[in-house]
Amino acid sequence: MQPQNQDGEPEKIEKVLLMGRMSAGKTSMRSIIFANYLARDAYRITFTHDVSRSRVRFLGNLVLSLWDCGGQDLFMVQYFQSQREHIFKNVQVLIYVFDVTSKDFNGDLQYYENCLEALTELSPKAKIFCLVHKMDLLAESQREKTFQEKRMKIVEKTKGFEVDCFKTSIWDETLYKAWSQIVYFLLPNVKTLEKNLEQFCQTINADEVVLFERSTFLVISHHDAKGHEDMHRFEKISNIIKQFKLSCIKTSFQFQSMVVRNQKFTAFIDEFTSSTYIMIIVSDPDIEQEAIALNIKATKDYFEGIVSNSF
Amino acid sequence: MSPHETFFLTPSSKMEQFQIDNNPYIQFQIKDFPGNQELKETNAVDIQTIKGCGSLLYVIDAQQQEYEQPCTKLRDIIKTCHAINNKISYDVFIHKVDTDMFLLDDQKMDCLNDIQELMKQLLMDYNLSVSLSFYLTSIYDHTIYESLSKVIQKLLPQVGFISAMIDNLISNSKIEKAFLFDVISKIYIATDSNPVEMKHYEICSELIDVLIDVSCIYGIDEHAGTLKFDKESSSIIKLNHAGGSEEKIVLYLREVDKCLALVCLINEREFHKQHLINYNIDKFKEGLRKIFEAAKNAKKLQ
Ligand SMILES: Nc1nc2c(ncn2[C@@H]2O[C@H](COP(=O)(O)OP(=O)(O)OP(=O)(O)O)[C@@H](O)[C@H]2O)c(=O)[nH]1
Ligand SMILES: Nc1nc2c(ncn2[C@@H]2O[C@H](COP(=O)(O)OP(=O)(O)O)[C@@H](O)[C@H]2O)c(=O)[nH]1
Ligand SMILES: [Mg+2]
Repeated sequence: MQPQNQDGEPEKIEKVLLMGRMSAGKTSMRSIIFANYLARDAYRITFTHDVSRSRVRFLGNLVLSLWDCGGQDLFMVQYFQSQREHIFKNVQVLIYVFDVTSKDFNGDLQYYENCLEALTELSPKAKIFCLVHKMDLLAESQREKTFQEKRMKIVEKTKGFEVDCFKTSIWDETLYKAWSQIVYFLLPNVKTLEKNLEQFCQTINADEVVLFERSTFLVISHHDAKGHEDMHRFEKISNIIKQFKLSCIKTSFQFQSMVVRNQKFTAFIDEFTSSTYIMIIVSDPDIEQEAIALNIKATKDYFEGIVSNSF
Repeated sequence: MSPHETFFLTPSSKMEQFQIDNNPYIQFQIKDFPGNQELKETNAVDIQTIKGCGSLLYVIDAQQQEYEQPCTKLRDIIKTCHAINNKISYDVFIHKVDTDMFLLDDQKMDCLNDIQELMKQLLMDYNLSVSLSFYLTSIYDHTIYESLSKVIQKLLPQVGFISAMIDNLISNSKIEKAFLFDVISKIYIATDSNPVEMKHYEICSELIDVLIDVSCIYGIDEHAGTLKFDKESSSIIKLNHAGGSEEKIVLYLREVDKCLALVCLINEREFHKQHLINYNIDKFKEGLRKIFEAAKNAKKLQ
């Protein structure tokens, strides 16, 4: 029987393992994406004892069960032995975090291989994501090269699974990029949503329409009618809005919506369905602000259904 | 530069100079002196610097619990400068009060009081009477911008007129609070005469960040390098009160001059009169221009 939420609707629960050696940055990134933390407060986080489990509701009825596994050798050994079944069974996603500045990359790889071995046995269908983390600590010119080297070695060790690698840092938008991709993977029916967004974008004659998940501001879907050059723009927007939301909380206000413009564009960011925010970019000066606001209102209900069917 | 990037700064070894001139009417020069350099009344360059100086900003590291030494040094600086130019105002930043030593507001106040008392004593011993102000600051929150704003405002003779105009604007348009910002430095040049609440200043300056960051993505010109803040730059952000109150507020930003933005806090109930507010802001814009022009002409006459 499927678990249900309080309204009696079916819930889908995905078990996500977050692993990596001690101090790799697992708890920091989880706190920033899911628990409303500022990057600059991450230094307050202390090491994770054993496994810290949290449930995150995403898009209403998708529940991520996040297992943040403390990375000290002592705990790691237990995961592979006494707790093996408990940890590695029924895993949908493994996110393995490598500290790019680690002095013992071979040791890190060894633990990674041990994880894969346990998964082959207990969750052979799991999807693997590897994050090469703390990239901000490398000089800009070194980043791509070092990342490719590490990636090669990781791919070499990954047998029997598909793996996606990302370079990340809590100090910039790369963290959002990686997690958006991970979430994207968990939403198999997102194509329908994309089709509908495309239609909506054409109807209102916008340059671009983007859907964000409401609490994390991760990108769920988008349509780009003009072909924008900046590949990282959505993650940047996520980052900007999330920062602003956090500053609001400190000052006892709550963010609701915004309009930003200059001679070249107008951007609308507003509450949309019960679990999403929408961003609309317009460069045609003849389009009225009120018209956009009305269009957002008018399509809300229609999209409500599509969003909740995307997983 | 963001706060965490400052970890990589090396100690300054010689005096560095910066020009702030984002707007043609608001220009000044910052001279950043290394901690170990002394100002001498025998050095011609130093004398020139002191003569042209409007405000002397002295930074004390609040983590160093020993304040005697930096305060004595400040007294010596004041003594030297006062003899050459008695119009300088002295501003003391008690800095890095974000650290674990200062978790409680009381601890900050104690530190402030200690230093204030000590400076009073030291200056009395030498019979020096100067204008001396103290600020608690940190680069990890908005205190550094707020304090710097106040220092700069003392140096701009037009601030009084501009504030009076803002007072006028907010009473005509039912605005609760308004700041005139330099969008590059996020220093506010003027505000209305109501007291400044830190949270209002913070949220307004965050809005400028959002505007500039989003404009950098979607508002860029083919001619790269041009400013993203232009004549049409504006922003409306709606906020709920977190305390369960039904009231909503609107943050409204408008460009009013090169690199200058007016940011207003308005109760949402009043915001339907946006055209009236816009009209009043246009009037304010004109007034601002006139004040700046008058100041420029006055300078020419001198
Ligand atoms: N420079 C930099 N530091 C980071 C980054 N991410 C995390 N850190 C720092 O790394 C340290 C360790 O982070 P944690 O999140 O506790 O690491 P963890 O993987 O959960 O560690 P365990 O719980 O022991 O397994 C903290 O001091 C973080 O501030 C990053 O992207 N860049
Ligand atoms: N905790 C804390 N550290 C600060 C603050 N301001 C500066 N620092 C740190 O103090 C160090 C020295 O700063 P710097 O500006 O180079 O000092 P200078 O020698 O006076 O120019 C840097 O590592 C900064 O990161 C602050 O407000 N709080
Ligand atoms: Mg941890």
